Amino acid sequence: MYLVVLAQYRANMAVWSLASILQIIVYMSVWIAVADARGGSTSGYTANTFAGYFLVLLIVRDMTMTWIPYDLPGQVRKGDLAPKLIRPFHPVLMTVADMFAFRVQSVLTVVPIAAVMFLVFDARIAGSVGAVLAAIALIPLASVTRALVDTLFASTSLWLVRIDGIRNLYYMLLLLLGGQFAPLALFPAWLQNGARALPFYWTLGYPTELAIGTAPLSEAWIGALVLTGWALVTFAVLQPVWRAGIRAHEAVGS
Amino acid sequence: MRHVFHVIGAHFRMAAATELQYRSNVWTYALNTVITLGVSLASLGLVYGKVNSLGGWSSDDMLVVLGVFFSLGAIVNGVVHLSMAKLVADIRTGDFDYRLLRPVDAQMVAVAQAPDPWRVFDLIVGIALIAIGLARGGFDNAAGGPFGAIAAGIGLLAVGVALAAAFWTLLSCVTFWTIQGEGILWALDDMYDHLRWPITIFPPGLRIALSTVFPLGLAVTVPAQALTGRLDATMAASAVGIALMFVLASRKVWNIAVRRYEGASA
Repeated sequence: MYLVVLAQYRANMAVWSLASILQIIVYMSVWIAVADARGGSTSGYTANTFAGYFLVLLIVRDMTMTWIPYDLPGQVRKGDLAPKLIRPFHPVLMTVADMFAFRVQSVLTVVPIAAVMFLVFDARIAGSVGAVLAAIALIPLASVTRALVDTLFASTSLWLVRIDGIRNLYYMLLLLLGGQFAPLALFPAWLQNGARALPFYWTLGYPTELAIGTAPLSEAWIGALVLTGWALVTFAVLQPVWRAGIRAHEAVGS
Repeated sequence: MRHVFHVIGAHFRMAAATELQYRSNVWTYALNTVITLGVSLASLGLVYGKVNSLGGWSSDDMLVVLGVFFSLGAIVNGVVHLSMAKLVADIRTGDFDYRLLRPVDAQMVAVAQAPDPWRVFDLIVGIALIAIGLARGGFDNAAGGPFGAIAAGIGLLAVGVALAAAFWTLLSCVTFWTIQGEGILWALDDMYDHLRWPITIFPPGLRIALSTVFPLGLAVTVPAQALTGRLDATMAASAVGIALMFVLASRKVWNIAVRRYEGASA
């Protein structure tokens, strides 16, 4: 049903995909310029492998993202959350269901665009077929982890109502430490370690690096383990946070 | 014309008076500005950890670009976007009818009717970044000396503001025909957020796209070029030309849209 709603707002969706693609192309172009300025490569990446990284990242990001940080605070503010709380399943599940519909649309738009740009930028990836398949297999796990972390950050809205500041902070963490601005290999060592210690990199940068062959396939099980661990930890933390949040919420708008 | 600016000034005062009632918001906005600044500086740090100069831009010159990005962003996100969002909402509810009845240029007021006073933070940060960048990097032998560089920079920033206002109006007019504008406005905000780099370092296709289809890239780059003494006559001229084109087009489309508008309240 949600797919039908989306199809009606085609211009909206087109501009949104354009915006998300622009981000990737801008950062990709910056790093290609850096590689060129250094005579062809930097930290093991050339112009072609930078293109490979960012274009695969474009797909990974679209396959794992959710709107929960926008959706949940909106529902809290407008009071839409209250009626959903009475229903016998978790309100966030509805947003998750909508996201599945969005994924279907994403596959149909973003993947062809990425494929065309792959040719335009002469992108290279070193990953084997097995590595790409492993990355694809990791996507559902990465999505679940991402959705849980998204929900955890969004649930602050149950207390604060407006979470523009927190959401901005969260997205900036995802941008920098998730590997969206640059592949992790370009960071100084301490920042690389910091990024590996947090969940953001594992949901975005890691599946990307696995697919392009920067992260070894033989260690893919570590990635799967870390993602599972973060999913469980976030899920466990979310339970008391959500319950306390619902109590604090007291239904705006009722 | 003076009358229009008078009315816009009154809207600014009213917005400030309203916002000052919600003082806790100030922390949210200050936090936002600090985070955005921090990430911008971190990404510059990463890039300039690898190179000394990118397409002829030193890290100090890049601070100036960032400063222009923040300053123009304060106006784009803080005045134009919110005013356009209000316009879209007014069209949906029918309040726009009253706007049209008032004896003042409806388009000019629509572009500036709902400013967000907290964006002043971004403006201050932007100006500070420009000042720091120029103090460290100098004007690089700009034509007309520092004074000429600053005058040209301010002039071209004004061109950028006009370009942004016209571009946003043009897209908001789309909402006269299709009722799906608000999402587009948010997406545009998001797109502007990535223009922290001079478009001259981009590949030709992207450079052209950010000068025409989404001309805000040009609007950020050209004032920074003027300030850092690398003003390119062709680029400056095309910025002025494109801005003029967008202003005229938005005027035309606005008039057509208003004529076709039948009111949602009636």
